[in-house]
Amino acid sequence: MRYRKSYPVGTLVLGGLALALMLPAPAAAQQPGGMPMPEGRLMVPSKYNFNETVSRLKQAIGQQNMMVVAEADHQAMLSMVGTQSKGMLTIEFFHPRYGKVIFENNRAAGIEVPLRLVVMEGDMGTMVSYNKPSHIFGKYKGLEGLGAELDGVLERITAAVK
Amino acid sequence: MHTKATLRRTLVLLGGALLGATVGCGGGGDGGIGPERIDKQSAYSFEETLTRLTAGIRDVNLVLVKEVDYQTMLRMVNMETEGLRSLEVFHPRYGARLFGADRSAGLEVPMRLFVRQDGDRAVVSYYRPSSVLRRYSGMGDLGRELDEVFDRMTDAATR
Repeated sequence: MRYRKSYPVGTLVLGGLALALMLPAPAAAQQPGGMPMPEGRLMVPSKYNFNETVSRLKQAIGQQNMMVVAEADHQAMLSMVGTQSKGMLTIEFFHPRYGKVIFENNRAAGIEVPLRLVVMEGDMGTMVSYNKPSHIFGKYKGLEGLGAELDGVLERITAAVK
Repeated sequence: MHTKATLRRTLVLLGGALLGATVGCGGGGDGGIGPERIDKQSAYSFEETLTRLTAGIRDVNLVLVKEVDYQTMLRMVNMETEGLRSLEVFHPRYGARLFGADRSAGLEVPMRLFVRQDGDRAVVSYYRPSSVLRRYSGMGDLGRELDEVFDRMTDAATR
């Protein structure tokens, strides 16, 4: 008599699952404190010093037909409470033509704008950090295309410091 | 027949492995769970809500860092809308704690309140601070403290 061993599907799925969980997960980019970066976060090392990086980014923002809406000088703010720090600046930027797309399609996304770049001076040089627009707007119905378009804009802006 | 059975077993194993990979990896430092958004319906008009919120910001000892009037900006591209305003708030005393713990959290501040007109009322939206800051090292206490501050501030503006 031929004996054929059969494996229940559930057992096989569990076996595969157990095997996969034993494998190391892919390494995620890490913040200095050891925690992985928040999802959608990009860090771009600049080849210029802090002031030059800020200057180049602002110029690139204008070249991409965007407007600098606000700046937050964290270094200056921290000095108000007696804390010394290296250069740290947030640049907020956007353009009403993109605002029109947002408010015509999903005005709940208004909380996400203006977009931000943070320039951080550190011991190893200057870094530029931002949240990928496709990650920001991907959760809003009707704005997926905008997110993809703005990804390209941010790439071209940050290319100015690479 | 043996080939079909082998293929079926292989596919099931691969499926299980893929499922395990999806479960095991998650996404980034927040495990793929984004910050928690809070939307509070105001009992007041748009203008009254803004007035109350501005007072509330002072009352909880925060600084109004920047206010953006989207309604005015959208007129630049010939779009008429109801009231839309962004208020960005923080304070250097919190900044010192935040940057002292994890500089990469700098992207999260100032924190943003978004106020939009909703008929003859308004809605105030923001991300719960603790849900924003949990993605960074050493921010637990600061996040909880700011949760209370934001709750007090927005409740005073909307109730």
